[in-house]
Amino acid sequence: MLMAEESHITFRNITKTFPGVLALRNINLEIKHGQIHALLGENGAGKSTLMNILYGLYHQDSGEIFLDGEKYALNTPKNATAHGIGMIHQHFMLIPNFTILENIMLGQTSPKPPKLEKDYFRKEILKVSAKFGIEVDLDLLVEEVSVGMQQKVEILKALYKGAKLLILDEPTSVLTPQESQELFKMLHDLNNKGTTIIFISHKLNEVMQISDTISVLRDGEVVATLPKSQTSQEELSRLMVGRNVNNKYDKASEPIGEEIFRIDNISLHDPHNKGRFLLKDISIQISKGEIVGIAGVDQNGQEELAEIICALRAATFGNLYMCRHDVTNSTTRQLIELGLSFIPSDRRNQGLVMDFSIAENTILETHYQKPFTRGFSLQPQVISDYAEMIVKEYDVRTPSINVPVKNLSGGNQQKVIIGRELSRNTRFLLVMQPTMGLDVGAIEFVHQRLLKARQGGMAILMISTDLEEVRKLSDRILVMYEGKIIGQADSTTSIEKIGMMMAGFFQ
Amino acid sequence: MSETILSPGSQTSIKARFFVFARNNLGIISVLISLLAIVLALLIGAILIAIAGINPWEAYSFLLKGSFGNRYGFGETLTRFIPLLFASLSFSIAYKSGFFNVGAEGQIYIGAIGALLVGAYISNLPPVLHITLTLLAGFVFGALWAGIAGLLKIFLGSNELVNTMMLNYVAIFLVEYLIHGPLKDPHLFIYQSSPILSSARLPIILPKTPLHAGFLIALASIVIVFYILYRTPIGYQMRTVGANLRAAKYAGINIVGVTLVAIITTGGLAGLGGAVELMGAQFRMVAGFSPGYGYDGIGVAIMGRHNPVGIVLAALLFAIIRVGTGAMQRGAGVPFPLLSVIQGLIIIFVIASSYLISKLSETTIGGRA
Ligand SMILES: Nc1ncnc2c1ncn2[C@@H]1O[C@H](COP(=O)(O)OP(=O)(O)OP(=O)(O)O)[C@@H](O)[C@H]1O
Ligand SMILES: [Mg+2]
Repeated sequence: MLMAEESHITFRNITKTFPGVLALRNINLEIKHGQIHALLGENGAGKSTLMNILYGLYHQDSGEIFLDGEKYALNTPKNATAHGIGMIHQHFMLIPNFTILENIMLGQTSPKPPKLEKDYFRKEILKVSAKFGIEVDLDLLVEEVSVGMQQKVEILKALYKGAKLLILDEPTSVLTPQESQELFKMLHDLNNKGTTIIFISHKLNEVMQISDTISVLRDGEVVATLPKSQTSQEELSRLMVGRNVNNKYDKASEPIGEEIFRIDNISLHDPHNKGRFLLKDISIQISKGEIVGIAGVDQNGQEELAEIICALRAATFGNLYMCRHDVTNSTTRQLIELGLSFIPSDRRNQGLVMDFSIAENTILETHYQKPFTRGFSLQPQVISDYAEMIVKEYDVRTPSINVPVKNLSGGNQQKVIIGRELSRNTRFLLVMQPTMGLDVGAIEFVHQRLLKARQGGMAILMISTDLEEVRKLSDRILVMYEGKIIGQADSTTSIEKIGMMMAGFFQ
Repeated sequence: MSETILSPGSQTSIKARFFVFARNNLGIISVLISLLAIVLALLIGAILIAIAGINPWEAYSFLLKGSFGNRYGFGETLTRFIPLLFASLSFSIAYKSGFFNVGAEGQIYIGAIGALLVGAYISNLPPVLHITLTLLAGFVFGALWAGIAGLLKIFLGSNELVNTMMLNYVAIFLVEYLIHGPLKDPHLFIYQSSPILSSARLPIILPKTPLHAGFLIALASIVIVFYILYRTPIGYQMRTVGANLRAAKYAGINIVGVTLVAIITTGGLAGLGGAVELMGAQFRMVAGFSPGYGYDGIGVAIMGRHNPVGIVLAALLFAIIRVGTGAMQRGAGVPFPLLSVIQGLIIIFVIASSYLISKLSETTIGGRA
């Protein structure tokens, strides 16, 4: 057994550039055995890049990595696995229509080729899951299980392949608070059994809760490495952002104006089970200058409700009204033209075209309108100017607006969407998880933007699993549980009480 | 562009140095790899030719001479280039829109039939009008033929790849039936259609060669296609649907409408290719009217990476190979099966090299999935 104080991974003078970007500059960092080491840093600071280099997805321009004190020269994913390094990405890499068992088996050599030997793998995987206390049902399809469960699968998969070092890139950004707590318990157990963990997060409270050591990256450099006991959330956020972050906003209360959007008795049948409702009798009215928050544990009908509002799915019963016009049968484009903006929860699949440039992504809904199109032609200059404006206004860190958005860091991708959706003539904004993956400074910025929009008379419906966020911003809070609105609250209601409601306990 | 940061003191592994070098010189390396691929294919070809008892040097000199060493060969190569360009544009515009049309071959045949009906059976039209109508007929017939697979996809969700492929056989046999029956030229004993009227023929633009005005139509088409794709709202929508269907829906883009436009243009372009070939080069429908232009077009589009310059270069390469190997056969007596092998080798090597290049740029620059 190695001593806890011995180095597991040492980065020495790691530098990495992308065209036009210096992503990492002379990184020196030591990860000790058996520790939970957190990496903090602004969006685009280089956290994912550093981890991708360790895992072998990218190769550094210069510098070296040492593993257990020995030079680890050939960093490729295959070699990483062979050396006990496992990585859980910011975005999962599972195959949705395979079962969990098949996903974990994938890429393993069967003991008796060409036969698959599923039963052998089942036994082996169950052994690992028993050893680490991770329970999963191997026969479910990945697409059927919650995000939290998919993450467990990813972790189990890494452990099955023999990981002694687990890298988790923003594991909690897709989880509910309850799921996060479960994850932390699991990570603690793993850690107690000797697994080293590198943990990337933007949530300072989580970092303070779970890690032993914390390193802060800024602009591609390590600016500090501190033991948890010697630091505080305030200090960390100052180190990250370079200034104090304000997270108390004054919400000038504005007299609530006329009704902008109304959801009237919407119900939705479960397409697979006609007797069941995914949504039942939902009625919400959102007025001018008001933020209505919907709190709830993920997968309680929020996604379906959002799709119905945006005309991406038809409700079984009920009506929708925008500015008192019946829009139940309108198309998505008609709604957008009436003044709907939508910030979806899954930016990679719903909100962005990853292969398109930033500029192309900023006109996703409006490309055919003036001034972006004149006559038959798109106007490249107008579009560039517009994209430049959004990039500047929303602080998207990028060398140019012609970079494909897939090359942006996660948080900067989110900023592109937010900038796009808030830069239109919007009357009604539907936002889901607006600050997912953003750093503390950017969160503050986006929150201020939403409040400013509210001040300007926008009607906002915010669906978020982040209870803090909902409480901070909303004028009214509705709690959703199993497809129903089961309670009302406001920013004075205690977190505990809202939490109880979210878990299905009425009143 | 990007500066290299190699701090002088740090020891850097050979591999890392190679990566940095490769990244900084990616442009040159890509060109070198492509050239190397062709040279390699030709070398293997040379060995095979030598085994067949023919002097490879002499054979290859026929390849070059035949394809652009003299005026006639040059014109012939550019004539070959025309249908290849249409077929590859057809494939690319559909591919960019998320529609896999491997049915250009059939659409070329049906487009040519449309052109034949108008070009051979409607008379007494002034040439400009007659040519325009004949081209239009080719476009429309090709679009309708692609439309069969398109509607099956839109309304039944059935896979267009399989359907367009199967429709190729239907089209080829349908044409065979037509020239044996209703469209057979009554004055001939062999099975061919009547020729199109001279008012519907495209003029020769390079005298003493077969090169006809279809070349100019092809060049105009490439400009129009890429203008549509990259400079118009409908093209933007097509690319969005092709790149991320889900995001396109969320953005309010009319998926069915956009897909229809894609189907009409992909089929129409292939049909136009058939019409132009008929009006400029062959004048009659015969069995084997297209020696696989539709399939070559897919190769051209992939090799050209769906961008205009790449497609033009790739179509030229294909045309040179096809024409030049013909000259090898006539001049040096290289047997036909061996020619197919050499053609195949070049195509496979070039396509493989383009994957190698993209892999190299992915690992050195780092790409995200
Ligand atoms: N494949 C790539 N091509 C070009 N630039 C890239 C690529 N990957 C990352 N970058 C750039 O490198 C920098 C660091 O990105 P990285 O993803 O490591 O940030 P991060 O710290 O993980 O940020 P976030 O918290 O937003 O996820 C960013 O400026 C990003 O735009
Ligand atoms: Mg990241």
